[in-house]
Amino acid sequence: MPPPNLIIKFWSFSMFKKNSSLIILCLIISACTTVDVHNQEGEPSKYVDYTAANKSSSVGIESNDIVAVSEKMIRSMLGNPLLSGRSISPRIQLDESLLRNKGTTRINKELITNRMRINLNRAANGRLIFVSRENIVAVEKERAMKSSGIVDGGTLRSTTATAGVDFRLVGTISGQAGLHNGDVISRYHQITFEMVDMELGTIVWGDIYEFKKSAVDDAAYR
Amino acid sequence: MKKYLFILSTILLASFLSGCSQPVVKLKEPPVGLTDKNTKTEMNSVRVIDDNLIKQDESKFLGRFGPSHKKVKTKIVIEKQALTITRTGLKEVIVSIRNQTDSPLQVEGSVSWFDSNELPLSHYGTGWQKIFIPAKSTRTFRESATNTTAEYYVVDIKEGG
Repeated sequence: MPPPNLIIKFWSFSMFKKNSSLIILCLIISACTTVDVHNQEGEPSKYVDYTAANKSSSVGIESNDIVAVSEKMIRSMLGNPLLSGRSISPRIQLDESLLRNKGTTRINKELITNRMRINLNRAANGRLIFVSRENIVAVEKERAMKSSGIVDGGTLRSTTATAGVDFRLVGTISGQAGLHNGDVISRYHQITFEMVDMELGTIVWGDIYEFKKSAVDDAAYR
Repeated sequence: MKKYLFILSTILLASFLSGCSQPVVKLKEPPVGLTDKNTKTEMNSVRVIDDNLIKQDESKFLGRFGPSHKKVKTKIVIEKQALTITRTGLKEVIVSIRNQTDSPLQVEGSVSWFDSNELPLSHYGTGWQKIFIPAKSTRTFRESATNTTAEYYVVDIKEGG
């Protein structure tokens, strides 16, 4: 029979060995557990209806406003006999060059004028002719090559000059902001369009689109 | 006592069954524009596609017995709808909408145009036009076609926001 002190020593050592392996096992397992860190998976992008207001919209001009203003102007122009009821289809320059943004809302003006021109051209079906002045440099270059004989005359008729413009679109985007209760902001927008007779300087058509929005201010529109 | 109970229960049963003989409690005509999942789209019509604006509830005794009672809850009334022609020969639809509530209401309207064969002409999103109607007032929604071949229209109305 071994002496008691040896027995005690042996028992303590084996307990230590047992406990230390248990402690090491616990440390390993705890290292494998996940820590509560906010790392939420992002959402994939999705298509939304551009003609309707969405939850992320603010007091600025949104896609549904661009659709609404362009649709209203198209119908207004098509309903005006001085523009679309003429015996000879008038030539119109419709681009953003004379559309002035005098408000504080950031907007790409081409979004409005491109949509108006393309859909109006499609709807007018020849009752209105649109002149592409922004491509005049390319047109003149091609005409020069044709007249100098570098290229042939093409399949269409030849003309003495490019098309002159009868009417040109001018417009203004204005806005007026208001602040309520320190955090609710409102903004009134007024978008006006007119067609100017490029010979006489008179206004043959005009229309206005106005709206007001209010929300908690969005940093993107400040 | 048993005799009286028998007579009373017979009377009750008879009145209940007499109610069942009528298929539905007849109410006045459903409001113009009421649209549910079984409503067929008709040409030259106005459809209120938002339940918040016009809704018809159907109820029965204890949820399943007896004749069904239909109750209409409506915030707006489509008073008039008409088709006219602009000075340039395009069709234009005019809809008169009345707000029956005590507070201002914002609604949105959109028109789909169809040709003489009832085929749709709109091939891109034309958006929603907002109409702000003060309390107990009437406002007009109007939109013209952009195509000279337009013959019929369908107007959709929903609550704006």
